[in-house]
Amino acid sequence: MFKHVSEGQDDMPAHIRTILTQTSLTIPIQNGKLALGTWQGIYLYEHRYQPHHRNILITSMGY
Amino acid sequence: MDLRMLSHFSNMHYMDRYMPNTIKITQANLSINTMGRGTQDITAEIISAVTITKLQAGLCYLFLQHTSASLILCENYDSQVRRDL
Repeated sequence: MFKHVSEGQDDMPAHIRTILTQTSLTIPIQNGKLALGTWQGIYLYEHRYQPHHRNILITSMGY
Repeated sequence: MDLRMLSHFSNMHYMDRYMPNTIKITQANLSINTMGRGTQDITAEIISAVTITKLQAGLCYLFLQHTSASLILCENYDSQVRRDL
């Protein structure tokens, strides 16, 4: 289905999944805590079949 | 998982006392080894990165520096949600 197969059959599907979701999140800080809803969790969603090293840059701004 | 603060406020006490409500910006790096396709809960690590900053109000901006993985907010009660994903 895809022409970009040089990095494996799972690579182009992984790019599509990433673009359809997102690579960044902004969560408010309220009363000193992350203002997550009761049932909200933050997840890293890996789309490649093999294990990978992933890096997240966390920038916190406020007072 | 490896959480590393990239910056911190050496003069936090001074700033809090003499310049309250000054907006501060801090950055941390979270390195994760994934186990292949699927989700990994990083909520606790992000919470601790924010707690270390001692910020009371503001925003936490998470940026994943990759093109074949995502960051998502998802239900954390029934793990079947993530298996279905």
